Amino acid sequence: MAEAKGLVLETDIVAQEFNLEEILGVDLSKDEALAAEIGNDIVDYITKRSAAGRGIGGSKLRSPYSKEYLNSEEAKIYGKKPAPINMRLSGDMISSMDVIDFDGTTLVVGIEGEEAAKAHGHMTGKNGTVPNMKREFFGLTSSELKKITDNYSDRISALESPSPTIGDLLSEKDNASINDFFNNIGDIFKLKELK
Amino acid sequence: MAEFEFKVKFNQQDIKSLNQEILTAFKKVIASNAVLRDIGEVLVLDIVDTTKNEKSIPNKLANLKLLKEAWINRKDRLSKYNKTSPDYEHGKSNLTFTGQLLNSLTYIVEGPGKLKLMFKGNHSAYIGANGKKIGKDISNDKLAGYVAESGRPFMGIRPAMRLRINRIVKSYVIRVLAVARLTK
Repeated sequence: MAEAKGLVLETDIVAQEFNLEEILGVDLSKDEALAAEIGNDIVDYITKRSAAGRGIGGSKLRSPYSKEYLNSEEAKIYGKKPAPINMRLSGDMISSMDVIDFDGTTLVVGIEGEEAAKAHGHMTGKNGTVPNMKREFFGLTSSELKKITDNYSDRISALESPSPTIGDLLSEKDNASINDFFNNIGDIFKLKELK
Repeated sequence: MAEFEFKVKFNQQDIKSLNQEILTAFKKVIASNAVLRDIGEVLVLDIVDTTKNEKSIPNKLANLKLLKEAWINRKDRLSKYNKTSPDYEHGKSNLTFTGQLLNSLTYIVEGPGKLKLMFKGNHSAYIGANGKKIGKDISNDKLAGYVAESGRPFMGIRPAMRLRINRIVKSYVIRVLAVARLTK
C-alpha cells in the first residue's frame, strides 16, 4: 500500500502536512508564494487523480459504487452511476480542497470545515464501519510530491539552506521517539471556550 | 466575551507507557509562557484573517451571514465620514468597517497552561454627516458578543490551527531535549 506521510484524518479536517524545509532542504519562509504554488499544484494533482478514479500513489479506487449509495436520495438527485469512480457527487468535497496553512516550514493542504466529515468517511470507511465506502482519494506519496516539486527545481535551488537549529543536535532515534510520542498522544490540546 | 482555556488531554494512551523523558519535556513546554504566547499570536492572527475572509470558524468555515441591503448602504454612506479599514469593502460581510473590533482582539497568558483571548478597549461610535457621533461608544467585548448573537459567530479555533499548535509544541519539546543533551 502506497504511503502518504503526514496524513491527518479527523472528522473536521482531512489534510496532509508537508515539512517543506525537511523535504526540499531549503528555507521557504522567504518565498511563501512558492509554497502556495506547490500547494495549489497538489490540489490540482489530487483533483485530476481522483477524477481518473485513482487514489494515493495512483492506486485504483474501489469500484463500482455500492448499491446502497446509488439508491440514496442524493445519488439519485445527481444521477450518479455505478462507474466511473471520480469522488464527485455535487463536487463540493473535491472543490473544498485547498492550501489551508503554511507556517514558513510546513505546508498543509486539505479539507477543513463542512466537507471534511465527508472526506473523512471516504478515507476511513467511516472509521471501518462502512468498508465499502473506503476510497483513499486524498494524500500524496513522496514520489508524487517529488513530481510536483521537480517543476520548481530552479526556484528551489535558488533558495538558501535552512540555518541549523538546536534541534539538529538530536539523533535520528530521538527524533523518531518524539514523532512516536506525538503520534501516540492523540488529540492532546483542547482549547476550551469558557464563555 | 470570549475566553479560551488551554487544556492538555491524553486520549489514546496511558501516560505510563509514554517515553518519560519526552513526557517531562512536554509538560515543561505546555506550562511555559513563551509557548502560550506563540499559541496566542497564532490564534489571534488566524481568527482575524479568517473573519476578514468572511468565514465563520464556529460554523465550520461556512460564509458569515450576508449583510442586509440597508446595512450595506448605511456603511457606504458612513464611509464618507469615518476612517475605514483597508479591509472594508462594499457588501463584504467580514466584520470590518473601521476595523476597531478585530484590531482589539488580543490574548493574555493567565498562568501555566491558561490562555485567554479577549477584546480590549472600547469601540468608538461611528461619526455621522454632521460630524457628531451616532450613539454611544461600546466595549469591544460587548460588541463581539452582540455580533455573535446576531448570527455571525466568529471566535474559535480552525482545525488547521490545531495542527499548527501541535507543531509549535513539538518544536519546543525538541529544543528542550536538545538542550538537555547538550548539558548532560
